[in-house]
Amino acid sequence: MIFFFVFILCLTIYEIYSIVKEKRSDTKLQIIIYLCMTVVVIAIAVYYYLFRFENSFTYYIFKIFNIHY
Amino acid sequence: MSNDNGVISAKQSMIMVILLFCAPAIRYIPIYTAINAKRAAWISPLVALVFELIYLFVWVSLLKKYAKRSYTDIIKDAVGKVLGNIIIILYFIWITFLLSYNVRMYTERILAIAMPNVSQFLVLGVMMLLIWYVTKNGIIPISKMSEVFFALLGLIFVVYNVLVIPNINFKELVPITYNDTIPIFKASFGVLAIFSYNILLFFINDKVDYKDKFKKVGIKALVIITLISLSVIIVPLGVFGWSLLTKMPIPYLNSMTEIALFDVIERTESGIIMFWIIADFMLITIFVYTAIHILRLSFNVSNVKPLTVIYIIGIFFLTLVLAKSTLELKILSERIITPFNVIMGYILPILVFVIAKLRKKV
Repeated sequence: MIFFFVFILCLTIYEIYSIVKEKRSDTKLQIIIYLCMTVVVIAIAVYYYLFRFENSFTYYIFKIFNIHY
Repeated sequence: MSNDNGVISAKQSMIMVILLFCAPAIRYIPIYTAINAKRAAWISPLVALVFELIYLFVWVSLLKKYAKRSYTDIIKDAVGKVLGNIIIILYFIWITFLLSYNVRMYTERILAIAMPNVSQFLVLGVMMLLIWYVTKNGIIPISKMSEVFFALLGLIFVVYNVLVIPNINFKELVPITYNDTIPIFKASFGVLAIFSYNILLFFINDKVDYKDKFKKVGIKALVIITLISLSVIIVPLGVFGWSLLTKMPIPYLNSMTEIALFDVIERTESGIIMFWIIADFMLITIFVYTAIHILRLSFNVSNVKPLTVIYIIGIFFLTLVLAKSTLELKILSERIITPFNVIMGYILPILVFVIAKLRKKV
């Protein structure tokens, strides 16, 4: 998990640096979308590291659609 | 400006549609059709073909007005910006979900067939790294790879199907009575659910130059897809019979183990495993490219390379948390993915077409 966070941090710094370096007209938009996606990815990764032995996403989908097996 | 200005031909786009169809067809169609229609399962692709032709003509009509425009633009123009954006978000979620499902099925299969003692993390990581390398260069390398792989896969598929013919007992395919009509219709949903993946190609329609050949190449692709569906059903159905087929995890692959060339060369199914892995690789690549392309068009972003990296990492973890067992994946596929594929792949585009027609847009 620590490795993942260090990796994501380094990747985010590198990608934002490369976006800024390109100096395009939509730099801000690109950074915002990138950061939003990073937050979602971190959320999924944290779920994986902490709760992978409990319930999968499919479990919640089955619960929503009331599917029993 | 976009980094990815390349345009592909009508033929290349149809090859991509066929490659999208191959891997899930082998995995899913034989079992689903045999459970529903039993020995009449092999007729279901022909019924599906009728629906597919109607669907093709809907797209012919839409593309007359919206040539070289993505499905995202078509949706926004037909139903308005607000509702259009909601539909596009739904499509993005659906594609991401399907992608993680297909990646998971790929890893499960590789681990079960070829690498039983290897970590899932490793198999998934290598695949994702390869996908990132291919998708970052845009649509042109993907379409060129599709062309090369299509020739290779076509050859493997034809040769294996010819070699297995002596093992097929054609008596297992009959008798068929009028009582099979409704089960055949039900079974055709399985074929249609997989065929619905073709919607991805309309999302990258702005990258395809059809030059008024859409109808012609579309019909050709439909014929090839129907032939593939027929083979993946008839081969295991003829080799094992419908009741045994439904109890097998991968009946088409199992039927290939029956090949014995001149009673000397046996266990030749590795060729079909290779076919399957390449088809899966192309499917995942096209899915990732399409999802990123939807993001590009929705937000009007000029550079999507950074987004591709983080999206692939997201898919990596989503794949891992998607399900705990193959049983969960199987039920997910039958109960959730099949009906949703039909809704997102057929009903929504036809609704968009009807709304566009009512608003006199087409």
